[in-house]
Amino acid sequence: MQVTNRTVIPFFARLRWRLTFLFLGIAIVPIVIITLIVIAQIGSQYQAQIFTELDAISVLKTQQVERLLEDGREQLRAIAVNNEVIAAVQTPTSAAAAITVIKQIADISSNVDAIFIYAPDGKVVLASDDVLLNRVVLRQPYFDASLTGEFLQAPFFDVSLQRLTLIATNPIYQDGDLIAVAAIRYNINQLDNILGEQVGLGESGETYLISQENNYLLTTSRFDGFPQNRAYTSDGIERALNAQSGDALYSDYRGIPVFGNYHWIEDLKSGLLTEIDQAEVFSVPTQTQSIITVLAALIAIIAAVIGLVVSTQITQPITQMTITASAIAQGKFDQRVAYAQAGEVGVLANAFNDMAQAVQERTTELRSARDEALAAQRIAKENSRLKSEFLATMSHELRTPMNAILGFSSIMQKRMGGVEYNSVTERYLGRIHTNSERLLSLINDFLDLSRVESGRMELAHHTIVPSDMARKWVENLNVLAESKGLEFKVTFDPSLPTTIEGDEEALSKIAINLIGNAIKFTEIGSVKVNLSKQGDSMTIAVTDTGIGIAPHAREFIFDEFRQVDQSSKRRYGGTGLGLAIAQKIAREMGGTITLTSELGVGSTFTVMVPLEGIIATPDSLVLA
Amino acid sequence: MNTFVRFGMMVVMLIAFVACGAATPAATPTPAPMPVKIQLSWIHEYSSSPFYAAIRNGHFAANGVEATLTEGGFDDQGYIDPVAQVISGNTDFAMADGASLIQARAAGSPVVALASMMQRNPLAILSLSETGSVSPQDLAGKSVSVASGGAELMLNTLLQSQGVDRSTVNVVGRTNFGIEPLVNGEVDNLVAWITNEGVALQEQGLTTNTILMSDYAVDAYDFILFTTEAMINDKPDVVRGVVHALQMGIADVIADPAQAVEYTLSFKPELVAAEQLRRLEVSIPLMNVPGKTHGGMEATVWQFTYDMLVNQGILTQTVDLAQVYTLDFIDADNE
Repeated sequence: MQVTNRTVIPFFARLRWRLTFLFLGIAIVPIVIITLIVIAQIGSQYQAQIFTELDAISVLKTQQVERLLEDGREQLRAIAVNNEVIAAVQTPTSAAAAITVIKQIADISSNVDAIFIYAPDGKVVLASDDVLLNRVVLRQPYFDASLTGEFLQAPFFDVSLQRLTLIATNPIYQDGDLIAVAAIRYNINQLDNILGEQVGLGESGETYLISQENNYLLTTSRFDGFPQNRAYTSDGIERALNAQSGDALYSDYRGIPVFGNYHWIEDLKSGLLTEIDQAEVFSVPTQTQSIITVLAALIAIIAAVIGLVVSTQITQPITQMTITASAIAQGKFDQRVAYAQAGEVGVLANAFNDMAQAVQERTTELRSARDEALAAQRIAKENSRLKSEFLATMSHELRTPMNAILGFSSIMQKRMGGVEYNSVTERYLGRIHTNSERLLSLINDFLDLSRVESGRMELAHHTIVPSDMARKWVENLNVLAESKGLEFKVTFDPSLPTTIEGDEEALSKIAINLIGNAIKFTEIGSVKVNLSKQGDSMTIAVTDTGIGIAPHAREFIFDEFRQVDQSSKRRYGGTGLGLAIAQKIAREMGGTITLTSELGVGSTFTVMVPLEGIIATPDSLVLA
Repeated sequence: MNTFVRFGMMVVMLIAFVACGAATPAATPTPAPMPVKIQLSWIHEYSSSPFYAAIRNGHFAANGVEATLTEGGFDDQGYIDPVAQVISGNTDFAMADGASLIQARAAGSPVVALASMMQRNPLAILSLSETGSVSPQDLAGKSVSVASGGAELMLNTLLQSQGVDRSTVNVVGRTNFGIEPLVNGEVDNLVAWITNEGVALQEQGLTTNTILMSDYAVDAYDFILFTTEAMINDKPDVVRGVVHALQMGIADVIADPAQAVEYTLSFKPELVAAEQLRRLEVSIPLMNVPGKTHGGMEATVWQFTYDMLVNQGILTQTVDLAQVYTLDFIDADNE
């Protein structure tokens, strides 16, 4: 296939892109693997770090909550032994001092929402908040337990306050007798203050207490739409309220996936949960992962660019060589690859240029030789034509005087006019006549040969009756055959048409030459001629029982003036032009002459010429 | 067939026969659920949501009962008296307040309280903040709107127990059962439920004071499931099934208020879910008191109610509280 610079190569079959993608693939595979490993490790490490931080925050918050509870208890212990309080309980008329004391404590301590003291029948007799006075806590959940010792009531929902309440109590004794119970209602907002501190919890983090009492939020949710007096649950809440502690990934009470730490606080009968949205946590490693991903992409792009540059450097001279080779193939032998780089490709380019140079020089030489050969051919043809013309002219010119010689010698031999010759003169006249005939025959042969060679032989197209044509051959040559005592027979194959189209004179010239030769070189035996049709050709086979032709002589037997050897020429006579003329005429007719021969046995010359037209097919016929 | 093979086949057939016999349970017919009618204390709303949950979550069916609920409140003949409905046999069970049941027993009606849906009474004295009513003592010189009956009885008891002279309080009979008189300043205080009017005031964005009756130990059961002595005697299993189903319904409402509201709306679609949820959320702490059994009752509360009736001169004869209520059907483990 001729390669040209216009040959379309499919995109992915182009060496440049294949190399580029190869570079890209080699670069990307390890980058992707390394990136995935790094990203996974970052995520895992970051997750562990988050859980550690959540745990630390949970521990800190728990300590702060327990500190708050303990502060309340210490204050209650102080109130329980305060003389003014004891006196006020025993003598309500002296309550002013006691009220001052408990109000001061309540005001000073941010952990305290209210302090109240109730009698064993449940009626509030002293209170930091006047609203609480005269209430009866008889049916409050802490009442029974408060009469027996220090007690911290688990958070419960205060119906009048409509929120969870945290109450601690401490009995007040006088001389070993229970005279009242001191109670603190914790400032539940302080729990919000403690747990609402967001340090270390990012934007979405939250620490909250969830009460075992109906799964209510003990602290205020930092998110809107989540009131305290609603039951909340999540995996973390369930675990915390089952007194478990630990870390986990789960969806919080809002249904948002979080990193969570859950912790049970026994005193509060509540769970402490420290959570941060997974989305925020993952956003940090995601940023890092994004950076790594971008870097990986940049590396991949750089690899692609490098691949493109390298592949271009490799493929550019190849492309140049392809274009140059195409140009050379189109005959532009002066094209060269312009590539001056060192290395294998440079060596290849130089070798290519050397090859191109050699091709150019060789082509120039071949063209020169071809031109010389053509010129010589033209000269030879011209010389041949001149020779033929010379021979034709000369033969023609020779025939005229030769005819005169033959004519007059014939007259003289016939003693026309009464002239008498002696025997010597008659013998001389006979030699003159005989040699003149031979000379005329030679001239005719030359004339035929020159016609064929000069291209002036024009083949006629007439209707031929092969039997008539063969009969003339017999008439001409039968005398000669009989003179040598040879059997001379012409046979016709039934396949041969009775009439054909062609040049009878040319066919006869071939046949007579071959038959004449056969008779000439056969001393005993026979000369047989067979005419037949083989395919689209007419065949004339001349078979003799003569001396045969040696194998080495078969190569030149059809050359002009050539006989098997000079002795044959002397013995059998002839010019050596017969076979040459026959073969040239046969070729002119589009046919061939082939030879089979065996020394001492005989020869068969077979002429095959195309049949130009078939008119009728005869029965077999034999002429003798 | 030799003897050994025949023996083996007999053993196999015997095993198969025994296996078939063991796999076929004894034909013990499953009793059909006992149909019962329950008269609610009011129209379908959040306050009856434990019944809805008990039905929808299959607790009645699990206890062999097929419950049919009937709305309470008013009809063409006026107030539907739940005691009369139960006594007349129009319904098997009904909801009423404790004071009414004591009075019914005093009147000779053989009704028995079985369970209290709420552990604390929702009745409170509501006022706008600027009124300054934060304790019973603050009511002196102010008007208080209160409905006659149980609410007035509890108000009088509160005033008495807190040493507030009733004559210093302008007690006004409540004829408008909305919050408009309070919002419009027609009255200073309104005796109403925190679960209903209390929430309605919050929904209007008003800042209010609440004097909860139960904070002063003026506490009586207001949502009591009751039936007749005959029902208890004749069909104790049905009674137990109804009580247990109610207890389980209460637990379901506490655990999932939103589901309870959904069930409530399935009985009365025209209700507003958000409003029902807010009221139910205020109600749940009254149902779910630490240390109290869901649906349970305490002798002290019954005694307080009885004393209240006696002290207010409403009850003039002795009533045996042991006949008024029974804890025999309460599942004490349901807290």
